[in-house]
Amino acid sequence: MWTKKYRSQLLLVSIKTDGFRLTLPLSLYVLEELVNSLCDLLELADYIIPRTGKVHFRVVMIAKICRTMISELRNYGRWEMVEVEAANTRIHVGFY
Amino acid sequence: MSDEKKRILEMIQEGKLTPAEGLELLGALEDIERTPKKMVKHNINKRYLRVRVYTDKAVKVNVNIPLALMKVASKFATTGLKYIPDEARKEMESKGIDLSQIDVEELVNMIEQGLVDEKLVDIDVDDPKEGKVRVEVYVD
Repeated sequence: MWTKKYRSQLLLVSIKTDGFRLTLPLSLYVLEELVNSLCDLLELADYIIPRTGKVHFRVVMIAKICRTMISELRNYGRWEMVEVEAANTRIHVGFY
Repeated sequence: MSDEKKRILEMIQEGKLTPAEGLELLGALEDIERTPKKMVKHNINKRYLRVRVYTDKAVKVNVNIPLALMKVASKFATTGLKYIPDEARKEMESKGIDLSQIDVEELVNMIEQGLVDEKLVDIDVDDPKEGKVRVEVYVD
């Protein structure tokens, strides 16, 4: 939104072990758009596909929760969410 | 009965106050009690729930969760708890864990109102491998 000062654009997951290093950048904008589109499709599918058996959850509900969470995650600008170091392994999750 | 009310009644008994003055004071006291206390709401957008695990050598775990995000997530917590399969729920209940008793939203509200400002968890452990390990959970 135009009123927001700064929204996070990138989710960066980096894993570092002995002799192995992986950095996974993920565009939050793309992820948000993808989940938005998926939500619409799942909502349509929810009406069309008949429910069978004992269903504990609706996929569309989970997708909607994901959409809200991703949108909320982008509101804090640049921040480091997780940094864990154990037995020569280092995992870092940050928002930029 | 509150101490203030008792004191007013004693003063009437001792003749320091007239019954009319005493009634007036008691009325004023009740008005104050009826007025809800204002909770100071902190700006949760800049506050984080932080989990830290330190050893003598380094910081092992550093987790930062924005309180505003926790507040949004807490709305889904009750919804999410409904989707736990019955078998898992029964197993937890047999171990004395009743998920319906956990009010995540209330806990987040308490943190927002500044009622939980001190450290939520503060543990010191002596580990044979790592040495002294400190676990801290706090809102900053």
